[in-house]
Amino acid sequence: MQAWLDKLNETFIATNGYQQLLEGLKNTFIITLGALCIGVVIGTVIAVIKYFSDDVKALRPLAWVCDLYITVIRGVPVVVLLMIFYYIILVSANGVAVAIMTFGINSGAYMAELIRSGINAVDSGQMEAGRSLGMSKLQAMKVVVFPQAIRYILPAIGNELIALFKETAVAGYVAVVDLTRAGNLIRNNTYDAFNPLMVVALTYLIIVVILTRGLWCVEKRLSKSDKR
Amino acid sequence: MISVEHLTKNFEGLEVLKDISVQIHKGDVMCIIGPSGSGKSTFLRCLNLLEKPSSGRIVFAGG
Repeated sequence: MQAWLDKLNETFIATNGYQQLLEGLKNTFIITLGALCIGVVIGTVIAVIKYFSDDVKALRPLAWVCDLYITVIRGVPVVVLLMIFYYIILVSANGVAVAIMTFGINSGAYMAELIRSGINAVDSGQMEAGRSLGMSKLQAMKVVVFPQAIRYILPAIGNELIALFKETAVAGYVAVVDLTRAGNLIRNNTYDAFNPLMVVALTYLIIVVILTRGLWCVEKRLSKSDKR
Repeated sequence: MISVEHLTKNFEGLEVLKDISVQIHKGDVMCIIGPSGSGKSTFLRCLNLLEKPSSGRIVFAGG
């Protein structure tokens, strides 16, 4: 036991390894939150375009472009996408910025489907009611339909957040010091494989548990209106 | 007042509303009854412009 504690001290404290881990965790959070924001924006835009392209003929080519985007992004692994962006498209850019952009673009493709499902889940009578009151389709979407769709979208986005948080573990491929990469660096420096990996895994686990719990609270709060 | 003049609605050959004319004044309570499929909902949807009437006029005037 004492030997293990000594080993821990040697690995993390003596070499200031814990600072690297904290730096890595910070980068992981930054990438996750940045990518989430970008993903939500992209997803919403695509969902709205596809919703309105049924009626507005001018949007059809745009909707086709969106379908192409979703197909490509869903067909290429995130790691490959990350490397394409880092080595080809945005050479010599800041690693974290590239990671945020790539994960955001990747996430946006999946969020588009989530948000579209959420919008479709709202009763069509709501859009009709808005139209009957004289609103344009866009106004009715903004004021009546979308706020109600959020109730269905939020839990799905919460799940996407958790997936995204773990996905960022591959950012180390492109010279970003995220949590996993920090653990790898410590392992390389101290030749201790067990402790850094366990600590990194445990950190991911704890944070995901916290996020899941928070998600559960949000879902409970949102479903209050279902009880009569 | 809502003035419906010679409202007609066709759905791909099926004529659901045949030359409907009615005047609805402010404060009127109106009941639209009829058997299944006779065009009650279609009539109301036409008033709302949720369906486009095939021909006829709907005039919304004050009072």
